[in-house]
Amino acid sequence: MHAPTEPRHYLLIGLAMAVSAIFLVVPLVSIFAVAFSRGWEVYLGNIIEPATLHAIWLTVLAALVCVPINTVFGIAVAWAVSRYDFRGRRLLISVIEVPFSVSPIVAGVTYLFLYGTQGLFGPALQAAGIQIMFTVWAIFLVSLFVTAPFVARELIPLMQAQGSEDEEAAISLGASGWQTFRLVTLPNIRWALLYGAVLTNARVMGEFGAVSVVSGNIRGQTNTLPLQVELLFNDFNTVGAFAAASTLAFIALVTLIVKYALELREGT
Amino acid sequence: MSIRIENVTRVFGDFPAVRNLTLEIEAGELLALLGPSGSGKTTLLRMIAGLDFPDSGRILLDGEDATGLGAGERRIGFVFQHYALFRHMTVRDNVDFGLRVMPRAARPSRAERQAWVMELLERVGLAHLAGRFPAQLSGGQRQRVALARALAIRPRVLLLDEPFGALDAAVRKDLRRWLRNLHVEVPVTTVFVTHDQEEALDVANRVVVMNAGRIEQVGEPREVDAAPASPFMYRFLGHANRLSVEVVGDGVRLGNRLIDAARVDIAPGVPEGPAEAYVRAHEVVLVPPSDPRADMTARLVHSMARGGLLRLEFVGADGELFEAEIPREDCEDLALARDEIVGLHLRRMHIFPKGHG
Repeated sequence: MHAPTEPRHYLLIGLAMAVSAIFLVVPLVSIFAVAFSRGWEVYLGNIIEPATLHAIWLTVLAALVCVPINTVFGIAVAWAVSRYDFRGRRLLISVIEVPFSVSPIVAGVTYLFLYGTQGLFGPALQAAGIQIMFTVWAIFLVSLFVTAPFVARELIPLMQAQGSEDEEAAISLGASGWQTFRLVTLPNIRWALLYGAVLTNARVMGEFGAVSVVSGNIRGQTNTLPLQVELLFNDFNTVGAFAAASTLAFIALVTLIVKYALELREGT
Repeated sequence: MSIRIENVTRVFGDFPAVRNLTLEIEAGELLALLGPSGSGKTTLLRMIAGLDFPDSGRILLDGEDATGLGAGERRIGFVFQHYALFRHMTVRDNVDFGLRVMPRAARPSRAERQAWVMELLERVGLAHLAGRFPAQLSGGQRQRVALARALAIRPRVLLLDEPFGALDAAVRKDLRRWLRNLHVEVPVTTVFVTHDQEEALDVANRVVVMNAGRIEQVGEPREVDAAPASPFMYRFLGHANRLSVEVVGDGVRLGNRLIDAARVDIAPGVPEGPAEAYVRAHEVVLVPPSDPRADMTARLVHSMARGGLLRLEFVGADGELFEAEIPREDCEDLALARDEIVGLHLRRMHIFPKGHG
């Protein structure tokens, strides 16, 4: 890398900046601009509106459930494929990526097909008195599906590059499996792990497509924040929609800042 | 502690890394496993450590079967080729690690641990760097931290995988001397892996040369260097020339010349007829081409002075490269020039069956 010297360098840089501003920064700013267009009080009133408040709570709950589960899942998968050579290893690495390559709406429909009343397991579940579709459980399930790859994808390349020598050293010094994991493996992967968890969190909170298929959109019950935004917008409550959207945008901004800080840490 | 490796085999996929190998290592030995890459020496070391396990055969530590024991149960100090220091811990915490993870009942008190860690760091000359992180140390310093860490658990055996592999020449030499001295001070059974014959011959009390998963030769460094037992050994030790000869009675024919038994070692079982002769570079003497002692003539293509020795490269009549190593003062009066034709007298030839090894 070097500093720009010729006019065409400046032209290219200027172009990149302008395009980023028009496509990325302006919409982000406009969210907050519209949300606050009628002042603080209206904004706050929209946020503490019960249905919106419930949507915020449900979104946070989904994150609280999905982030820990997919963090553990991600570590387990990354550990398996980076430490062991087994039949089907490459296939497993590809399968983990499926949620990335499949449209979330397809994921939602698939879960509907599996667990819905007309679905594969539907009759059996119904007989047992369990309803999954159109409840918060469905939201958790599809969110888990959609965010399954994030942690694993961050960890696999790192753990492959680091190799298992550190862990072998710990074992040869008499450490138990758990001590090795806690004292050696975890500190070695902590920044990538945190980074993966932050991305998982952002995606759980922002997921629309898959959740909208399986949640049933019941206001005040199974509406997450993204669904609530759409609902308010369709109600012609523009300021309310933007206020709800601003909370999501705020989460996105925090995620970006944390991600940036983590990348700085990882670089050192 | 003594180690006995009994008929051990280890196969990766369809690659046999170690084949039916048996070896006895006595308590207090400083033993080198020497061999080219892929010869199985690191695999063998890892199996002694319990980081890998044989597909068949047994490993006995002090006469007790340890084949199924994991690395943590063997109390063996292992030093990895790339040190494997814990990067997020200071030098002090790295060395303390093996003590810290001990079960509470067996673990020394904090003060005892601290004193022992500092004593070890003192011994490896790094006490002043106790608070540093591995990334702030040089290669040689990291290597010594890794050694101190392995010694902290008072291991029954010390195993080192290519301990000098990643260091530059000067540091390597220092560390070699240092390891020899350490073994005198702390006479724990030590096994180290290397592909560098000079290193093995310099440091070890006994050398085991491995090739393709088997032991090629075992002996004291001087023995191994003085009497290589196979064509592989000549090629591996280097600076040896291969010639095609014909065995006639108890002598050989080289070109038109008959060389009698006095200068020829014929390995057992070599039949009359075509065979391979190995001549080491220092067993070659330069003579004028017309001298009756000249066994062959060759053209000088390259010469290099190294200390008191001169390394010469020739091309023989059949176009093959030929190496000679002679004391410098012996050739000062020869006034050698490039492309000069000289006579070569072979002081000793070692004969093996054709196409063997």
